[in-house]
Amino acid sequence: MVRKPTATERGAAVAALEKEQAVYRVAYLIARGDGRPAELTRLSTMDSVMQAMSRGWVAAPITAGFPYQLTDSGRVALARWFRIVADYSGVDPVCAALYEAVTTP
Amino acid sequence: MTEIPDATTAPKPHTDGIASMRGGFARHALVRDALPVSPGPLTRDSEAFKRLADDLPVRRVLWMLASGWTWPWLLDDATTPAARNRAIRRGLMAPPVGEPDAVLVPYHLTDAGRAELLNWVERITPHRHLPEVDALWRVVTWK
Repeated sequence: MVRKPTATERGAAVAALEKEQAVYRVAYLIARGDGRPAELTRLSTMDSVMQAMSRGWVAAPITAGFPYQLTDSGRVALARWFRIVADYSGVDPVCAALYEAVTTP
Repeated sequence: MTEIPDATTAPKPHTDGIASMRGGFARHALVRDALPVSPGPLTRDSEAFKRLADDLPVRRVLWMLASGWTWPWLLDDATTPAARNRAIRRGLMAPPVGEPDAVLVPYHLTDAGRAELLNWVERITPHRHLPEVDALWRVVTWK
């Protein structure tokens, strides 16, 4: 059985995610299909895209038909992010703000 | 003045001299031998054409995912359920995360699926000037 994290453990995890929210924003944008450079620069920054690429979360575009793509490890990271943040966005105002900042259209 | 070889003293051609110049079957490998064999023309019933035309509905799913139609309400309209199930079973695509009415993470093109699709694009691109090959291309990439 998995032990539920204590409030302080969860607070530390959320603070770590808050610091990296720009990279998760990029992963989310590409996962939902906005992988074209024009959309990424409009909704995020190329700096965060490069950070996501150096972490191996994002594959480089090949042609106009093949924009930036989320890799399997990027998908795992994003799913973990949603498990931590989305489940608590109803009760924790910090999580709610973080969820809003990353998933805003 | 050329010397006419004497029939009794002529060297046996297969026993000395340079191997590739003896004229027998044995010779050194030439540069030409290392070149790949040309696959021949691509026709409707050739093996290469059949491999390009293999499982187009799944390739269409992969193509739509790669071009950004990842939300279920987009992909489900553009592709067939059978093709999506086959792509998931073969590990080329991952299903969405979350409840059907509250999807958190949309469909995902896996690394294997991306490699598969890029391999197909690489194989079909040199032949797209042929009308029957271009028909395959349009089946997959049609919007």
